[in-house]
Amino acid sequence: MTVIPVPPYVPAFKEMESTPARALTFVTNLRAVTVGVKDVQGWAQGIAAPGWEGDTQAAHDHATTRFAVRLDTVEAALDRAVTAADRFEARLLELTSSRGAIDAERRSVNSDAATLRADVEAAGDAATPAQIEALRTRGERLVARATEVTADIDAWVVRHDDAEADFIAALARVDTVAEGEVAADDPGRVDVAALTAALRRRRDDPEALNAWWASLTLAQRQALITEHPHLVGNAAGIPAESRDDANRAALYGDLDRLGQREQDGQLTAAEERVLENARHVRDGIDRFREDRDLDTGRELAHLLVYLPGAHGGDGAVALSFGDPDRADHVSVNVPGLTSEASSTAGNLDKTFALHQAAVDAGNGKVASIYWLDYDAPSGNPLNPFDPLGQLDFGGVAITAKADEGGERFGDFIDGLRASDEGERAHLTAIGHSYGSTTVGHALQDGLPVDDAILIGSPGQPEDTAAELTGADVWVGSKDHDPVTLLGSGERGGVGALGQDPAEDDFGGVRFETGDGSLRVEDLLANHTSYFEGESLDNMAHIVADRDGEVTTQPHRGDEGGEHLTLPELVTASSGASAGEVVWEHGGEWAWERGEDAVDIAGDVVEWLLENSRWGGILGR
Amino acid sequence: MRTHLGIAALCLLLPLAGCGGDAEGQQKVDDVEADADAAVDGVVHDIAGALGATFTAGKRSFAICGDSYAPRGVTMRTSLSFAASELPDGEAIDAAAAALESDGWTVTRPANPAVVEGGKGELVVRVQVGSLVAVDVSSECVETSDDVARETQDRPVEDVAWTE
Repeated sequence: MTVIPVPPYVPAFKEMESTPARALTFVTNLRAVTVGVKDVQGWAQGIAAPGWEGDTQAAHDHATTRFAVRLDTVEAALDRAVTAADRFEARLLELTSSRGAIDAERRSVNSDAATLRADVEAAGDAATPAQIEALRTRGERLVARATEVTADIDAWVVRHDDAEADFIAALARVDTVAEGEVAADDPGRVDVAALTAALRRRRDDPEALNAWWASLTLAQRQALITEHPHLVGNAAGIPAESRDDANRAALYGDLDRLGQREQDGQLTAAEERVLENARHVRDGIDRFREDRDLDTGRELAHLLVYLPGAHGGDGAVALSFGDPDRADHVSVNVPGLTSEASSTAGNLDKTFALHQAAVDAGNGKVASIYWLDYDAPSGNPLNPFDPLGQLDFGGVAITAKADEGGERFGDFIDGLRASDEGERAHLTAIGHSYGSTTVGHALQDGLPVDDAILIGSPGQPEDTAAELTGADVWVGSKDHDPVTLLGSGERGGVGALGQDPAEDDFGGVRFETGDGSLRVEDLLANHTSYFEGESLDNMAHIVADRDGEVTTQPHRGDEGGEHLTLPELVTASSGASAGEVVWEHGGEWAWERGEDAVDIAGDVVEWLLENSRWGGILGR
Repeated sequence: MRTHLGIAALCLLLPLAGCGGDAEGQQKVDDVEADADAAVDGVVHDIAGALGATFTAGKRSFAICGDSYAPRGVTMRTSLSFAASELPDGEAIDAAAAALESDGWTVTRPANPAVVEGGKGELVVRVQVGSLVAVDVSSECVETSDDVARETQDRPVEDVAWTE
């Protein structure tokens, strides 16, 4: 009898109770507590007696010093606990990643074994010697794979159990006051003041900062993060994971501290704004709390910038889906007018839609960043009655904000380049609306990206793409998006923000977005819908470096690229909408009175020109 | 009549003035939510069964489609996580595609072999496999009044019920 070896089914193995996501939540909360303790400890060390003298002053100083020393014990213990938790999280990330690879092989072995069993049964007694030999060879290879994967599982379980045991032991070493005192008196304790000074010296040099950060011990990094979370979290060149750790610590520290002050009725107006922005950022993260990096099991979201009081109280935030330091393709999306921390939710969903579409392109690991760390102008570009107020397209300030924003954006991108690991990532800058002008100013200053996508752009600071940058420039511009008709060009608008990049002479690649609806009530929708449909797919292909998949449409000024000017668009779209209204009020009546409808539409356009900013835009 | 028509046209010309119907928009949101619930109870259960994947968590959230000055409407996203399937990734995607097709969804296979999508009406179901299985049920933009869009976006992230 011939025997074909078939390995037995390799059973599923230990699920991880402690996941990287849970560890991240734990260590974030622990850091936030540590930040709070350090804040209070710093306050206690620095507090002066309020004009007291003699014994009263001495008693005061003695009390605050004792208080500070006691807090220092807590602080030292917490520092060690945070370091242990961070190390545990890192080990869980590695364990999740390796578990995924081992489990994929286990499932593959089981599937192949099932196929082999079926093939053996199908061959039966009629199998030829050659077939039998082939089946035997397959079986022997499968047995070897099964043996190997079983050994890998056993080794993984040991490493997993060791990681949990080590973490528990590390926490147990600092769970009494006496142990906290030992930690506080440890001569090897991290000198945070010296480290802080060293960090500040390198803040303007992301490459040097990144190299220095890599040279630190885990304990040194954690001590810096909890001592100065805002400083570490927003420093260009610090790795994304550490920035996320620091910014989350700052965020939850702010929520705790300011939430308490709110309950106590002690919030100042500025603090109220900070708390509000912090809550918007927290809510933004919460929307993606269950989304995971499918390789490591870590939360997909990374908080790369968190400055809730920046830009006159509008706040600053940058959040990445995926780890940009380890991704093959990174995109950074810059929003436009009226963007502030309070508008995070909708903008994050657009960035997430692009992220999923770029992942679908299947060309390697992807990270997709939403970046808002500039003072985007406020004001509604189209509605004169909006509480946001009017936007002054003719003012000098509107160009200055794009220029200043471009500088900040450049610093952020330099930081990403500095912390990039492995092969240099393919990097794409995306600007929407006024954000495209901001990106344009950054490109003008030598932004180190491979591709730039300008969507719904009101203008660029150079006449041609070649003058703007050495990167590939892609343009998404719907002909019925009124904002895209503001830039100067052959039939262009006032050009307050520069050149229309969709023009043939500009020299970018205009990808297909469609024209958008001509109805006047859809004009804004045309401007805000680039992260949908074909436009989204094209952007995803650019981001994933699948340029050959991008579909194009004729440039303005090129054959097939005929388009309306802004005044023509307003008139035509008003007529189109008025016509629809008339039709909805009764076709026969409308047919008879169509002329009235056109007159009314004309009146309304005239009214808009006279009474809204359109008049300013069009020079009326 | 001319006055009414003028007001109507003005309303159209100033989409931000809040002339949209709140009740109609709210109904649309409710309908999409009901469709998503039905998809979770139906095809997503079929997919989980076909993959032998165990449910771990589910959330639902809404976001405005447009910008803060022109919300336009909302998109709905229901995200569900499952422990990894017992099937190899390729077979898991094939099984998910088959489950979608048999429930009448139009299946799309993007270049990434770890992803499959199905479309039906305003909904898209996206399945991605790896160290776990992620399933999204999301909607295109549901057009509403600005007020309904903002109120819907402000709803807290909700847990999604999963019945075995």
